[in-house]
Amino acid sequence: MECPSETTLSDFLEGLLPEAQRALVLAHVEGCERCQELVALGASSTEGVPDAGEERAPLAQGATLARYVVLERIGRGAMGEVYAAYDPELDRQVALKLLRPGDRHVEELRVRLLREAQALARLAHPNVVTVHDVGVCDDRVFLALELVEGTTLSEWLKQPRSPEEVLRVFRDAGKGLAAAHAAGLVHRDFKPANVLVGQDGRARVTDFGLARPSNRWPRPRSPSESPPRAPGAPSPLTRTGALVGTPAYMAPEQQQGHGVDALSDQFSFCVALYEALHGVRPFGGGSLEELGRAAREGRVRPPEREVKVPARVRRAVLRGLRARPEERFPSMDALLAELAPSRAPRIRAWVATSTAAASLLGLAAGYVVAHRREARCAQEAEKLSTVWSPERRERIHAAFLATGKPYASSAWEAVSTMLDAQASAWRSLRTDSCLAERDAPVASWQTAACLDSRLWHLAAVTDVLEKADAQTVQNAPQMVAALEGISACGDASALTTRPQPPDALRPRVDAARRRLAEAKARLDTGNHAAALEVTTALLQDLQGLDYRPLEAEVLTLHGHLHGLTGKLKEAEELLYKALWAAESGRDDETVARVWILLLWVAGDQMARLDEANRLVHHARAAVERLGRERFPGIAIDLHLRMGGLLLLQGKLDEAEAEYTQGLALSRKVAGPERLRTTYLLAGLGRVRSRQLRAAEALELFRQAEANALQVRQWSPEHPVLAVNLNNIATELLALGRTDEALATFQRALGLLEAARSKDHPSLAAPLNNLAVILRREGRLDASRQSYQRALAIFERSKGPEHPSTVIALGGLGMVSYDSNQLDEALAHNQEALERIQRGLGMDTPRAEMPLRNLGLIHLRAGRPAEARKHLTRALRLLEKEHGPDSAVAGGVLRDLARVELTTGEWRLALTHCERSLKQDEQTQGAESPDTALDLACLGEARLGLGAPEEAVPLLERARSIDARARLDRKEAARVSFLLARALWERRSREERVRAMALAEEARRWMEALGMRTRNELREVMAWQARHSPTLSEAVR
Amino acid sequence: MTSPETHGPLTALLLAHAPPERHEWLRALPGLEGLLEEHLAKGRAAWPSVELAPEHFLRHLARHLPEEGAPPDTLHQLRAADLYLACACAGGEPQALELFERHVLQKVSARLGTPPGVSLDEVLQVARQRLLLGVAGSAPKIAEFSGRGSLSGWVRIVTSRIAREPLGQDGRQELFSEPPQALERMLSRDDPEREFLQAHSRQVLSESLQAALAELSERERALLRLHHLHGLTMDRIATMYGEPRSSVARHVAQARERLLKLTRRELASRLKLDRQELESLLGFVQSRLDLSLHRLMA
Repeated sequence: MECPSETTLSDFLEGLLPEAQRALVLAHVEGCERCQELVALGASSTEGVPDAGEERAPLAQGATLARYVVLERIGRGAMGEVYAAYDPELDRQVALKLLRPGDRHVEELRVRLLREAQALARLAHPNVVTVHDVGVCDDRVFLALELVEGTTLSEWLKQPRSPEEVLRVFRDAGKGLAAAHAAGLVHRDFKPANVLVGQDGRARVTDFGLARPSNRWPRPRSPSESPPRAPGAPSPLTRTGALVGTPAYMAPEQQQGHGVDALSDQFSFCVALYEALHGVRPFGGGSLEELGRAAREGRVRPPEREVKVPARVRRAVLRGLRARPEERFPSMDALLAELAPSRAPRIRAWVATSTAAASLLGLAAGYVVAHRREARCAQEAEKLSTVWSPERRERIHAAFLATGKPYASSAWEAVSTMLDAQASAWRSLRTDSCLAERDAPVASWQTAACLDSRLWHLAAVTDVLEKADAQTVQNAPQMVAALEGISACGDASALTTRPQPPDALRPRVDAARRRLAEAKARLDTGNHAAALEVTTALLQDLQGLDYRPLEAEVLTLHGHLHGLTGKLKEAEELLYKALWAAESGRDDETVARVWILLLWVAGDQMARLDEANRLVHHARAAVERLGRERFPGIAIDLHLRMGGLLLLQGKLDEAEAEYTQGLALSRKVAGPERLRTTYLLAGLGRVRSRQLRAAEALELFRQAEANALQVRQWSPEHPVLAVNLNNIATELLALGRTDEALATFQRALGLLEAARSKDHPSLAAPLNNLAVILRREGRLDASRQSYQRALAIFERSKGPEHPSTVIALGGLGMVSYDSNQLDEALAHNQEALERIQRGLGMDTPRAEMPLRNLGLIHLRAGRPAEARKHLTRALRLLEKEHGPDSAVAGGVLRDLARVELTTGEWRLALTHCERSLKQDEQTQGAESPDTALDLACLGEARLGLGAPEEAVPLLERARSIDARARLDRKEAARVSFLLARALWERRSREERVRAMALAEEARRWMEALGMRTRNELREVMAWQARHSPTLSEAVR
Repeated sequence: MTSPETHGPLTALLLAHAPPERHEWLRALPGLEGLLEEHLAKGRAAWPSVELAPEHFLRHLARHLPEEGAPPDTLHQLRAADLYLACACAGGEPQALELFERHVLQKVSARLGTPPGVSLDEVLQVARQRLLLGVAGSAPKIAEFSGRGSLSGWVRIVTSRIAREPLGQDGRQELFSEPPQALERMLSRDDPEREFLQAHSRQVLSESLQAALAELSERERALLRLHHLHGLTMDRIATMYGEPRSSVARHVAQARERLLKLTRRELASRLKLDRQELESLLGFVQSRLDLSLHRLMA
C-alpha cells in the first residue's frame, strides 16, 4: 500500500475512518516509520514534541528539591539560579545551584556539569568551593555547594585594597586553581566573579566547569545561533553571551577555539590579577576581535593608577599574559612562587632556573640549597645507577662483542653514546625536580613521576641489551632511539593530563608500567610475539588492581599488537576496552591514541569504511581536545592513519593532503615524533604510485628508506624495511626496470620470511607483487602459487572484502585468463567485483581493477559489447572520483581501445588512445612504459586504417622507449610485430628484411611467454607464413 | 420515506453538489439543515473578515462527505472553522490567504523539523505554492482538506512531506531513518546520565537496541515508536487502534518489557564484559526504563 494521503492520515488520527479503511491504514502505518512521524506531527499540538523549556518560576521558600529545603534565592546567572538551602540530613546550610533547563546548549552543559562536579567532589581543597552533592531532580540538574558567607572577588575588589591584600587573595585563588590542575581539571572561566571571598578572608574558586566550552561543541557557526550583527561590524562584548567563557579573561588559544588547558587558566588568572592591581584590564578592545588581537600581539595597556607593585610580581603577571602558552609559567605553582611575599632569595633562584628546566644540564651547581636536601636529592638521582652504572655499561659492551658480529662495535658506539646522553639528562632533571619539591610540590612531583616512567623504559632496554644476541645487537640502535626524550619531563604543562595513581596503588602501578615499557621496547624491535607475551601476562596481573588509566595503557598496547599480527577482531575488541578504561580514567591522551588505532584497524585493515568514517570524527575530536601543538606526535599519527584510510578509498587528493600536513608537522618537531616521518614519506609515495607518478613515488620510497636507516637507526635487515622494499620494487616495475624490480621483491620476501612466520600478514603484499612479475614473465604456475598464498593471508588477516584481498583475487583470475581458462577467470573477477562493491559500495573507484579484468575476459571470449560495458563503467567511476582529465584513467582508456581495435572500430580506438597518450605524457613523461603502450595503440589503429606510413614513427617511438624502460614482453612483442607489418608495406627490400627480423623477434619473445601469448603467437606465425622471404622476393 | 422537496436552503445546496448515491444517506440525517447552519455560523464567527459564499462552503463540504460506513456523527464533528478557512483559501480569497499564512502556516513552521540542507523558507514557499496555487491548472491542494482533524495537523503532514521530497528523489532517505540516539531516547528522553555511557557502550547499546527492535513485531515497534519516540498520548493511540485506552496502554507496556528482555540478551552476547560490568550496564538500561516508564506512562 502506498502512503495514505494527508487527508486520510488526518482522518485516521481523529478516528474518523470507516472501520475497514482504518484497519488498512493502521496496517500501513505500523510498518511505515515515515507515516508514524507524520501522524505524530498531525496530532494536536499538545502532544508530540516535548515542550521546549519555558521559564520556570523561581522556587519558593520552603520548597524542596531532593532532600534540600529552599531558604531563599541568592543569585541568578546566565546558567541558572543559586539558592540558599538547608540540608536536614546533615543539618547544614548549602548553596543549591540549579541549571536552567530547556535550552539545547544547556542540555549539553548539564552533562558537562555533572562530570566536572563529580570530579570536583573528589577534590577537597581550602581554596576550592566544596561540592557536597550532585543530582537530578524534576529534570533539573542541581549542585549542592559549600555555602560561603562572604562576597565574590569582583565585589570585594570594588573596595580599595592594597597590593599586598590583593596578592594574598589571588595567591589563595591560585592555589585553588593549582589543586584543580593537579587533579586534571581545567577551570576555563576563571574571573573575579567566580572567586568567593569568605568573611574569614579566605578565597575559594568556584563554578568549575559550569562554563566549560567543550572542544566537542565549538562556538556557534551558523548565523541563526550567533547573536545577530551587521556584517563586518565587531560584535560588542555584551552580546557574546553565546560564547561560553568571559572574553575579557580568555586566553588567545581559548578565544580561537583551540584546546584549553591549565595554561589558559593561568592567563585568565593573570588578566584578573593585572586588573586588580592596576585598575585596568591588560588588553583593550571593544570587540572580541580587537581584544584577541591585543592579546596575541602582547599590547598591554599601561596601569591606570600608580601602585607599588613589586617589579618581580609585575614581570610574573606579564609572563602569564604571554600569547603563546609555552612562554607562560609551566604551571600555577611556578607563577605563585613569584607572587609570594619576598623573603628567601632561594625561591626566586628556583623559579628562575625552573623556566630553563627543559634545556638544563648540570644547573644544580648554582643553587643555594640546604645541605640535607641536597644529599637526599643526590640519593634520588642515584636510582639511575641500577640501570646504567659503569659496571652495567661494561657488561653490555662485552655482550655486544661476544656476538662476534662485524656490526657489533659500531652498534655499541651508537647505543652507548645515546644511553650516556639519556642518563645524564635524567640525572640532572631528577636532581632539579627534587630540589624544587618544597616550592612547587605538584609540578615537581609530576616531573618525578614522568622521570620514573622514563627510567623504567631505560631499564627495560638495558635489561634486553645485557642479554644481547645477534638479532638484538642488530636492532639495538633503533630500540634506543625509540626511547622517549627525557627533557619532556621538565615540561609540566605536558604532564598535567597524565593521570597519576593514588599513593596506595603507586608501587603496583609503577611495577606494571615498568613491564609495559619492556613490552614497548620489544615492539620497537619488531618482535611482536615477545611483546604480546608481556602484555598478556600484564593483563593477568592487573586484575584486582583498580586503576583504569594503567589498564587502558596495557590494553592499548595489547590491542595494537594484535592488530599488527593480523588478529583484527581481537584487536578491535581490546581497543574498545582500552577506550572505556581510558575514558573512565580520564586519560585523554590514551583516548586519542586508541581512537586513532581503531581508525587504523577498522579502516586501513578491515576496510569497514562507514564505520571508519564515523571513527574519524571521534579521533579528530579527541586530538583537538588534547591540542595538536601540545601533542604533535598524536596529531601526526592521526594524519598518517587518515592518509591510509583515504588511500584505501581511492581518494588520492585528500590522502595527499593528510600526508603532506603530517610531514610538515613532523619536520617541525624534534624527538621520537620525527620517527614517524618514515611512514609519512612512504604514505605519500603510495599516493604518487596510485597517481601513476612512478618516478616521484620511487624517490619518496627511497627517502623513507634513508630516513629509516638514519633517523630510526634501523638495520638494513629490519622487517619493516621489507614493506618499503616492496613498494620500491613496484615502482621499478612501473618504470620498466623489471630485473631490478624482481630482485628487490625477492629481497623483501627474503627479509620477511627470515623474520616472520610463513603466513605473517606482512608477507601478503610482496607475495602478491611477486605474482604480478611472475605472471608477466609467463611463469603462470609460480605466479598462481604466489597469488594463492597472498590471497589466503589477505583473506585471513584483512577479511574477504578488503581491497588488497580483492586485488589478489582478481590477479589470480588473470592467471587463469592467461592460461585460457576463461570461465575460471570470469568467476574470480566477478567475485572480486562483488566483494569490492560489498565492501566499499557500488560507486567505489576501486572497482576499476575487476571491471577492467572482466572487460578483457569478455573481449577474449568474443563478447565485445559486454567488455565495452564493463570498461565504460570503470571509466565512469574513475572520472567521478578524479575528474575527467585524470591520468589514472589511462589504463581503462587503453583497454577500451583494445576492444575497438579488435572489432575494427579504428577511429574510436584512436580517440581513446590519443586521450590516454596526452594524459600519460603529462603525468608520467614522454618516456614512460605507459606512453609506449599508448603509442603502440595509436600505431595499431593507423595500421588498421590503412595508413602504415603514419604508424611507423609511432611504433618506432614505442620501441625506443622499450629499449630504455622495459615493457612487459607481451607488449614489446606486439610493438615489434606491428612495426613489422607497417614496414612491410614500404615494399623496399631493406625494410622487408627488417620487418622479417622484427616479426621473428616478436615470435621469440612470445614463445618464451608460453601459454600467456598463445593466441598472439599464432597470429605472428600465420603472418610469417604469408610473408616469407621468398614470397617477398616474388612480390618484388 | 423520503420527504418531498422540503429541505432547507443549505441542505438543498449540499444535495446539489453531493454525488447522487449519497443523497439518500444525507436525507436520512436528522437535523441536517440545523447542523449545516451551525457549521457555517462557526466558520463566519471564526473568520469574520473572510468573504465566502455559502454555496462554496457547501460545495466543498459535499466533496468531503464522510465515506459510507464512517462513524455516524462524523459530520457533526466537523472542524467547521478550519474547513471554512480552507475552503476560502481554495477559492483564493485574499483575506483568507493572509489569515492562513498568519494563523496556520507560521505556526506549523515552528514545529517543523527540516532535514539538513533544506531551508525552512524553501519548504514553506513550496508549501504555499502547492497548497494555495495549485499546480498546472489543478485545484490547490488545500481543497483536499476534509475538515476532519485539524487544519494545522493536516498542513503539518503536507509540509513535512514536502520537506523530505528532494531527498526522496535522490534516494538518500536513509539519512532520515532514525539515528541511534533516537532509539536510545525511546528508553529515556532527556536523561543526562545517558551521556555517561562511554561512547562505545553507547554504540553497543544502540546496536543491541536495534537488534532487539528488529525482533519485535511490527505492531510492537509501532506502538513503542508512536508513544515513546513521537510522544503520542495513549488516548490518541487508542483512537488510531480503535481499542480501549487501557488495552493499548497494556500493549505498550508489554512491548517495552519485551524490548528490555531482548536488549539484555543482545547486550550480553555483544559485550563480552565480565559479569560485573554486564550487570552494571544492564542495571543502567533497567533504570532508564524505570525512569521513563514513570515519566512517560504516567
